[in-house]
Amino acid sequence: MASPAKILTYLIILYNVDVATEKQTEDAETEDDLETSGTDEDDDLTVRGPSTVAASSFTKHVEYKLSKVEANDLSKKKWKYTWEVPAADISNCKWVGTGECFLKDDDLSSNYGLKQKLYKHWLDVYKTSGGNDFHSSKQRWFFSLCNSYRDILHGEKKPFYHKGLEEDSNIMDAYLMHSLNHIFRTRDLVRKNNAKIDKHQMSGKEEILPGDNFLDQGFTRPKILILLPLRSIALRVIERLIQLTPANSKVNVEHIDRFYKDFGSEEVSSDEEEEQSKNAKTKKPSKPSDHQSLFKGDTRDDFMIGIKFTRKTIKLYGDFYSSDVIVASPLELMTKFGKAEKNKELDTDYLSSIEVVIIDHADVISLQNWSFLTSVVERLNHIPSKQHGTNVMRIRQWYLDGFARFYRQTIILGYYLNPDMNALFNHHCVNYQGKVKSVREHRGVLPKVLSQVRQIYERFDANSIADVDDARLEYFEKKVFPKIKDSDQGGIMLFASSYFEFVRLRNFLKSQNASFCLLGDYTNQKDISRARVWFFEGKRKIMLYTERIHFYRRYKIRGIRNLIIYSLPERKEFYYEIVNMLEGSDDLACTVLFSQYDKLQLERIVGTAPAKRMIKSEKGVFVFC
Amino acid sequence: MAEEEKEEMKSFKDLGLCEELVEACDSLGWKNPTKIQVEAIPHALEGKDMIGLAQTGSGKTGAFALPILHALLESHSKQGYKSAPVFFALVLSPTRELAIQIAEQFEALGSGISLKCAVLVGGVDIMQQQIALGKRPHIIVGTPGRLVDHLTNTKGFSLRMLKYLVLDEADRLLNEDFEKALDDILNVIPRDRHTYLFSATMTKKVKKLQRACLRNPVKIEAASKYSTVDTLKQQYRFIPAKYKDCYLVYILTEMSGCTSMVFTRTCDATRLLAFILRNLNIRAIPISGQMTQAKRLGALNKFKSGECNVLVCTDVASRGLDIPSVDMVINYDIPTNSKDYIHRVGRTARAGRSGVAISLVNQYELEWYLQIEKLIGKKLPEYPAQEEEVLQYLESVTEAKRLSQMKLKEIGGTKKRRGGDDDDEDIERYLGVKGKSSKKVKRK
Repeated sequence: MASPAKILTYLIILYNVDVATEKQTEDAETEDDLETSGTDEDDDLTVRGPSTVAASSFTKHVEYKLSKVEANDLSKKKWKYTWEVPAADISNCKWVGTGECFLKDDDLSSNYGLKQKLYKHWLDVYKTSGGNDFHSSKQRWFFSLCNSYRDILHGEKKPFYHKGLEEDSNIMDAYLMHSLNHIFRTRDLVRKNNAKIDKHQMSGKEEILPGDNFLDQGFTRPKILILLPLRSIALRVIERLIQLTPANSKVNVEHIDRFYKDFGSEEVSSDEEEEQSKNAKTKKPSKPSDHQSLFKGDTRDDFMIGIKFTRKTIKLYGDFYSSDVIVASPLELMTKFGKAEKNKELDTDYLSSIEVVIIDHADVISLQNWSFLTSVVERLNHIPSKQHGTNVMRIRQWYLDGFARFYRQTIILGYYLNPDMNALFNHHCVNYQGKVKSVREHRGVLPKVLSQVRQIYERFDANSIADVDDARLEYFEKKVFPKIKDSDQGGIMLFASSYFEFVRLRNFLKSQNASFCLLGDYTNQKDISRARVWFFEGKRKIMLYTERIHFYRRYKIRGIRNLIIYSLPERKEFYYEIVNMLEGSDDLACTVLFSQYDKLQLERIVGTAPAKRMIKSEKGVFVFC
Repeated sequence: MAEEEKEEMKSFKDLGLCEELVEACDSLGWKNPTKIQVEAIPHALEGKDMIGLAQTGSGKTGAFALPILHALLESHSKQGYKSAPVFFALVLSPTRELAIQIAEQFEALGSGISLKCAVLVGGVDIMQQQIALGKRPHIIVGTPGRLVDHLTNTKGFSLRMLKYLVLDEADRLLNEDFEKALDDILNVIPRDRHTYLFSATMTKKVKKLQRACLRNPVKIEAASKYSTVDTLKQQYRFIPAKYKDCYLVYILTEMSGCTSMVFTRTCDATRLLAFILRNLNIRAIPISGQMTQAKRLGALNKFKSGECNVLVCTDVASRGLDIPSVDMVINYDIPTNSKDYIHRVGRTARAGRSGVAISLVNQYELEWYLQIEKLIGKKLPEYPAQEEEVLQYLESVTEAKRLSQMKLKEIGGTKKRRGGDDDDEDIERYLGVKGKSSKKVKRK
């Protein structure tokens, strides 16, 4: 291991080098771009046999002319899901979509719409990893879905850290190939046009202005934005992005060392792991495997990196304005917004021309801070505040008309759905191509409850989604709390899904002078340990616990005899994990509050069909054993 | 006389303009071409360079806009472009307001042929203008400074395809302020183009420019060198200086249904007069060179929209601003430069309408007035008014003047302390809280 001082000097050198290269990028870029794209053209010639004259879906997508009427209609945000197709790979799952169904027909376009060299490379990668039927592979299928340029909401993706490595990787491959395809096609077009214009000017004919032939750009260069929750996940995604790039386009990957340093490859992150293992030694390393797997890498959530593709190299840490892809966490972008507001010299115009946004692991983001993500999506596709060296005569008309958001494809992927994600999908995604989302019948996770406890579900009624929070608290105050207030028995755990509910409950318990302790998002380590001991020993009767702290810490709380689930967890695994924490043999109790607005969580836990019944039934109380 | 009749007979169609444009003129309510249009358009259609001497309001915008649009349509159909050529014509104007007005005229004429027009003037968001350029406008109207700014900073914008260049109010464009910018522009546009040069006066500088830019230009003078339009009724009134305000109020009250412009010599006078008139419940608004661009535009819009019907201004406003519906011009102060008189009265009786111009001449201004009469080559009739009737206003006018002077002193006091800022605020008082100031005074 090098001494810290050495590392520091190394870092400084590295930094200086970066600054230097960044300055050069402008020149380098023009050089890159001026090269004529001989090979690419050849590519396309071989690809385009006589039968495949049809334009690629990329071309169709960006060359569509959206009318004002259509734009107005889209702004109304009324979506009609008109078709459904069963999902082959997930049981009880189907895809539903607006507009015309495009999934039924096999993808007939050559190479599934991929550029020839990308297709070849992907096929190689697929075959080396042991696949033999690319056409019916899941990644091919999901790529075709992405390539339709529709907005996609897929909330049934098993994550890599939770028994879903293959499924998760397949989908990641698909959206990364889609991103590469989008960038390569964009860059090809720009290069071809550059070449044509050069030729034109060489041949002495002065001007090239007229005609729409050379409209090929947005206000700024970045076209793809990938939003991810953790550095470790970004590492996974970017590594794969590099792997999926054909060899002749990544002769050189600039700053890869710095990248591994920042994002923690296996070796480099050993420091941190040591630290973690130190902590682990004091406690028992008894976290569930999915938790270990998700949090094993660099778990920081502040990162942003620009990736630029030139003809032969991938440049990591490119200046944002000269990058093609930006991979970032919502938090880091929020910080950038804040800085830009304070300092007029800074701006976030690089978000003005994003054409594909991919939000992966949306469920983890929702456990961080969903509002950041919403703010980021709201800031996409605005008209920039200043000029960034783009030739205005080559900016596509729909950018100039302020229609860019109608051309942006948004892909939201997560383990589960929640109302926030639905809201984002319905209100902030206005792609003219339409929408596709996955809908699933759930079986529920009740069989996984091992402890012998009757789970009593009590329904409370709320008039509207806005009233749910008040109604829930009122129900708790009037119907649930009186029962536990006077009991001498301790061991009451109160589980709340969101921090806001946690705060309201805490305030209520305070006002009632109840004996309780807290395990909340912002409770410090010392207080948590003490609270757990007190609770176990019965010095405090009630413990307040949240889904988020369980997600990050996965405590095994001991001494629970009476579990009150104030609101159901969004992660269905947490339900049985927490119910299974009940200890002892007799007088265990478990009460669950729910309303008709909790359908999404409820159906994941009790199953879709029972959930429907429970919401519609005359009765308000249901018991599961 | 016979010749004139013949000219009046002419219609836009007779001038050789294409169908679409004749229709456009018709829908704008332009029945017959104005003198300068009749003279200019046929030459322009022949492809000649032009130099036009005409004051604002004589229809000169039409005189260059129509042939340009005609050529645009022609090249569109002839050369078989998918869309009409971009950056086809450039019109330069010395002021932002004039540029905006010219663009409006172009757009009105071109509305039927989906004409795109971009305005490049200072004081407006650059990004929006770049977007406008990206939309491939056919016509660009602008002030030299901002245009050069775009030529240097907006990537992809060039005027190498330009076919028509128009210099409007060329005499003012040739000021030192614009010299450098103008040179820069002339350097980057093709020599092979048509150039039209319009000016109210023929100065030496214009002649110089003419040699530099124009090739065998046709010279068009819509009117004799310094004359005024026939439909203009010009009058004067010789009065003692002390009754000047009183006469002004009398005339404005008599003609209270009309829109009027009152010209003063100084910026301060515009403020004082506007205050006095407001105290007497006449909806007056001042405009002067002291105001910022935004305030000026704001004041102008108030006037245009009819919220105020009396515009009190200095000579700054006497040129370039296109206010189509001024019924009356009052020269509260007689201009020392007689050419200014021509410009001032050019605000009314435009485009064939009738109008009144009244000059209030006091004992000190007689000399200048006589020069004006010499310049326009005629003796003007006296404005008829019974002095007793006029002097009925004396008391209230004097009172209003006293109040206004007090008020100005208040503002003036703050002015010394705070420097230039107060002026904006002052204008704000006119623009924003229109009723307030007059009410306050009434209560007193």
